[in-house]
Amino acid sequence: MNTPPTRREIEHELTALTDGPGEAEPVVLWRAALEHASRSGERRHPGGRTVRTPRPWRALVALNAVGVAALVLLAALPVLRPASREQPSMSALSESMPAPEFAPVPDGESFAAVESKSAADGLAQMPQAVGRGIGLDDAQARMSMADGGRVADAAARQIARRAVLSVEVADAEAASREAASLTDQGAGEYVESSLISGPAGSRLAEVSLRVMPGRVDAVLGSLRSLGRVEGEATQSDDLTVQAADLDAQLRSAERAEADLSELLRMRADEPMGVVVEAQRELVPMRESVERLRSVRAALASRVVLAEVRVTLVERSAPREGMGWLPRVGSALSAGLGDAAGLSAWAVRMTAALIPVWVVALSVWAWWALRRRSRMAAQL
Amino acid sequence: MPDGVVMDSSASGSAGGSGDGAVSDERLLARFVSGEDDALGELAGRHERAMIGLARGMLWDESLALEAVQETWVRVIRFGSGYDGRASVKTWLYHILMNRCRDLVRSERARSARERRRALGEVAAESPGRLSERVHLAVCELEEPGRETLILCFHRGMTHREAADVLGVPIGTIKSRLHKAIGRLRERLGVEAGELWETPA
Repeated sequence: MNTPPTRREIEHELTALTDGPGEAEPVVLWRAALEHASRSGERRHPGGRTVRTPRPWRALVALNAVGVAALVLLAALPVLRPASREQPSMSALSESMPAPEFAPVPDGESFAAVESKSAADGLAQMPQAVGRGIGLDDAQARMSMADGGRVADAAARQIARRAVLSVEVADAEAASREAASLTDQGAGEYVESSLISGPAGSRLAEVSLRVMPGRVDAVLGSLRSLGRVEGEATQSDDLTVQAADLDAQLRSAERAEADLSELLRMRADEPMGVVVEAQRELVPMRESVERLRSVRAALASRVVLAEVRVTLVERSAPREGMGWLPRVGSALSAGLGDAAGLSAWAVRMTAALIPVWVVALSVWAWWALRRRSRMAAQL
Repeated sequence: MPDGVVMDSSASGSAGGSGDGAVSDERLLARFVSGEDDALGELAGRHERAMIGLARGMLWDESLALEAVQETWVRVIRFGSGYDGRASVKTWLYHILMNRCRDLVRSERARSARERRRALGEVAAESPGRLSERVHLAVCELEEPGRETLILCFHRGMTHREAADVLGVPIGTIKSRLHKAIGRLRERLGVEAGELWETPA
C-alpha cells in the first residue's frame, strides 16, 4: 500500500517534471530551426525585415491571378454596355433592310440628287416621326389614289413602313405557307417573294409580304406566333419631301410635253424637217414623264403597302425514326448551346459580384495582416 | 519563483542574462535580428534546455517536446524583428512555447502519447516507491489550465507574475488556478489538507 508522500517529496517531483537536459547536453534545436527557416525561404535579412525568397509557384499563381482578373474584366465589358447587349440582333437586322430603291434616273438630272437628299432627310426624320406617333392610317386616309397616285393633301405625311423579323420554327415550309396566308388579297395585299432553301431539318425560308400599314402590327403578331422570335426590327421612312419633289418634277415635265405638243399642233404647216426635229425632241420628254410617273407610283406603293420581311429558320427537334447519329448531334448541339448560356450567365454573375469580391478580399487581407502583426508582436 | 513554494532556482541564473556584465537577452535578440546568427545560439544556450524541460512536462513525450521547441525557434527567427520589449525575452520565448505546446497537445500524436504514459503510470503507481509516476499521473489528470499553471509555477523558479505574463492572464487567475490544481493534486495523491503546501500567496 502506498503511503501518502510528504510535501517536500511532491514539490521535488513537480520540479523534476520539467527538468530539461543537463548543462552538458549541447543545444542544437535553434540551429535546426535556422536551417529550416533558410530552406523554407523565410529568413530575415540584416536590416531586420523578413525576406521571402521568390518561388516559381508564386510567380505562377500571380500570373494566373492576373489572367483571371483580365478575363473577368473582359467578361464585364458587355455588362457595362447594356444597350448593345439587350437586342444584339436589331442592328444586324436593320442593316439587312434594303435601302430605298427607285427607278433609275439619267445622270445629270436633278432628281437623282433630290432623291438621295430626300431619302436621307426621311431617315433623319424617321425617329422624330415615330416619336410623335404619326399614324400611318391618318396619312393614308388623307392620300387619294384616284388621280394615279398623286398626293391629294400636300400636308399629309408620306410614311413608308418596313419590318424585318427572324423566327425559329419547327417546319419552315409550313410556316412559310402560313405566313403567306396572312395577306388579305381582297385589300390589295400580296406576297412579294417567297424562297425556301437548305436541307431538311435546317431549312431557311424568306417571305416578303406587302400589307396595309394599319395591319402591320397584327401581321407581325401572327408571324411571332409561328415560333420563337430570334430578332425583330421595324423602320419608318418619311417620304413626304421626296414625293413632293417628284410631283413637282412630274408636273414640270408634263407641262413641257404639253407645250411642245401644242406647238406642233399649231405649227403643222412648218417644213417637214422642222416638224420631225420637234417630234424628235418630244420623244425623250415623254420618256422622262413616263419614268417619273413610274417612280412616283413605286413611291406611292411603298407608302400604301408596308413591307414585312420574315426569315423562318428551321430548328426541328429529332423526329421519330431519326438515326442515332443525328440525335446525338442534335443533343450535343443543344447541350453546347445550354453550356454557352450557362457560361455566359456565370461570367455575368462573376462580373456582377466583383464589388462583393473586392470587399471580401479586403476583409480577408485586413484580417491576415492583423493576425500576422499580432503574431509578430506576441509570439 | 512562486511565493511560498520551495523551488530549485539553480537553473534560472542566466535567464535575464543582464547580471555580471553579461549581455542581456534583449541585446542578443537585437543582434540576431541585425544578422548575427551566433547571438541566437547564445540565447538558445541560456534557454533551450529549460524550454525542452517545460515542453516535456506539458506534452509527456520527448519527440513532441523537441518539436515544440524547434518550432518556437522558427517563430523567433521569423518574427524576431516584431519583438517590442513589452515583456522580457524569456517570457516572450515561453509564451511562444506554450502556444506551440497547446497546438501539439491537441494533436493525435500527443493524445496517444498521453494515453500510453497514463497506462504506464497506472501500472507503476501500484508499486510502492514510484512517487514520480504517481505525481506525473495526477498532474496528467488535471484540467489544461490548472495543469499549465502548476507546471509553469514549478518550473525553474518562475514567479506568479512571470507565469501570468507567459499565459497572458491576470495574476489573480494564476493564483486561483494554482489553488484549484493543488487541491485536485491533494485528492489524487491522498494527502490531507495541510499536509501539502499552502496555496502560494
